[in-house]
Amino acid sequence: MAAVTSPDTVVLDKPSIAESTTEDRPWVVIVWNDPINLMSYVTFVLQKLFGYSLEKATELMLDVHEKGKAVVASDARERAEMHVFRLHEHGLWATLEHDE
Amino acid sequence: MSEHAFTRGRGGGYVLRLGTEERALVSRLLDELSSLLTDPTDPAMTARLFPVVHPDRPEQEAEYQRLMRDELVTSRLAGITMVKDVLGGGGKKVTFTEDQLGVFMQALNSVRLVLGTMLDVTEDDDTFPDDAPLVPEYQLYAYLSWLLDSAVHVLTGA
Repeated sequence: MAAVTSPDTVVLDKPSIAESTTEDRPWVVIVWNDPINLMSYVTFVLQKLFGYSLEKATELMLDVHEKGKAVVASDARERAEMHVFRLHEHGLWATLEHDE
Repeated sequence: MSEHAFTRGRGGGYVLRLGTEERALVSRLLDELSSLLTDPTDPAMTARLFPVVHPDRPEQEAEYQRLMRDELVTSRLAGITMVKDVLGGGGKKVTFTEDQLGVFMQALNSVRLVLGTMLDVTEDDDTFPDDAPLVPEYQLYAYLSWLLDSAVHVLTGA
């Protein structure tokens, strides 16, 4: 899979403020709690994929474990989808959210 | 079973000591995973391998899955092939590079996701009933969890 480094751009004739705001709003990558993935492994994957420190990755993992989910990244759509893909390769339960 | 499955190799890399039976077992599990990925007769078994990405947006979900699902299958199959090559080396010691170990961990966890789905494990399943009908599968699940956790520890030095 190719790494996409620039966000989607949408050319509008007359972009309204509302539209451009929506487009600029980042896509949020969420990891959900599940009973199968090991806590040690989830922490490891978050460090590996996002370069988080052990402390930051552990904090996110505990949020997932205790609160049921955590936002692990937010980015332009294609990059956010790439994050989700890599999380899925590792077996984590990840979804995307985007306010509209 | 020793405390850790993996150790750091003297000449670099990560060493896994596997008996003949364990090696055959892991290899067979990887074959079964390949079959499930390429010919899913029971999609529920592999549901955890292909999570929904856009739960509230059917159109975007369909588009994402159309573009990415095959890619996820291809990536996993390539990983399994590579891991089987590494495991196929002679001797009782298998040495992985860091990248290879990362791919092995993904494959191990994929098998755990299928087994865990089959067993319907919950957060409280640290112990399993001795009289459960699926005791061998529970033991296998526990073995793979131990193997994966050991890989995390050897990579992070924890």
